[in-house]
Amino acid sequence: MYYKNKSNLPSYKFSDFKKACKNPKEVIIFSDAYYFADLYFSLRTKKQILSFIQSDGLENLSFLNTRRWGKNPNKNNPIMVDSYEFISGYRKGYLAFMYNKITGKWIIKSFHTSKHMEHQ
Amino acid sequence: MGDKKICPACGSEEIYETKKTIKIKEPFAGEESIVITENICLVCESKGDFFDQNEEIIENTIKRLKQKSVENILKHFIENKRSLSSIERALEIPQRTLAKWKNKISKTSAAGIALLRFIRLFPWLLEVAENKYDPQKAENIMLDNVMQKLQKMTSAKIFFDTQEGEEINAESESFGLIREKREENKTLSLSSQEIA
Ligand SMILES: [Zn+2]
Repeated sequence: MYYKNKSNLPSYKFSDFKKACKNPKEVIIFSDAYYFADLYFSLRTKKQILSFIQSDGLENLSFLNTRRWGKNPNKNNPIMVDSYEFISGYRKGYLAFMYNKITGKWIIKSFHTSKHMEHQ
Repeated sequence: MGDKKICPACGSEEIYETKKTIKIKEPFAGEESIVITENICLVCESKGDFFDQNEEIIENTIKRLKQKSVENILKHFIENKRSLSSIERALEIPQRTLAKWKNKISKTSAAGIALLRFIRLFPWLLEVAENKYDPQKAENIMLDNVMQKLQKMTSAKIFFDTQEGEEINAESESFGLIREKREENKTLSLSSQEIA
């Protein structure tokens, strides 16, 4: 189980992220997220991942927290990462994404089961 | 920003491209190795397909393997003397559909592929379909199959245990439970027929 900061609000509107998923050019999926989306959720292509998000495949979506992206080299352009938990079928999943307003890209940073992190 | 390639996460131009081999697997079709491109940012260490260079090759490989999977499954049925037309009849799908899928005359739908995989794994589902999906008959068919499987396992166990000179009890607990459940279903089935 992840720490849930109740006083925290998401940095992005989820609907904006969902809308961006309509256009694959606007969204980049990190290699690990891509790998685990296939491994745990049988989502094997970028098209499948984005279509799943866009068509409300993330059930019982629940916001966990928002935090600064630690690897951001540009301190003048702070980037926040929003994390969510969701359910799909028998699985509980974890999604983390961020947006860089300079590059204009949404980044899917993590997409795996909740259990996955506990084993790390 | 022009056409300059930048890291989508941090905006740095210090990215490089590397090739890596991945395996794509499909049930009943084995696996295929393909080479994909991965972009790595030297500044923020982000990794990914930043410019959508892999989507096509991955999609095409999956498609190819899925077709192979369809062909292998149908070949398996033919080899095991189960005609495609009898499967089509049981599943109430138009005649020649499976042959068309096998011979690439028409594209197998995703739902079609899933269905083929289930009947390949559990061929008795065809018997369930032939019995018009009657829940009690379906359960009996399933239990009969489990019984057969258990019988095979038990006789193998008897063989090995006897070899070792041990006394065995052929009627295992689970075996007895399944038999009870099956008898119960038969009684239920009979009484519902009486009502009808
Ligand atoms: Zn970067």
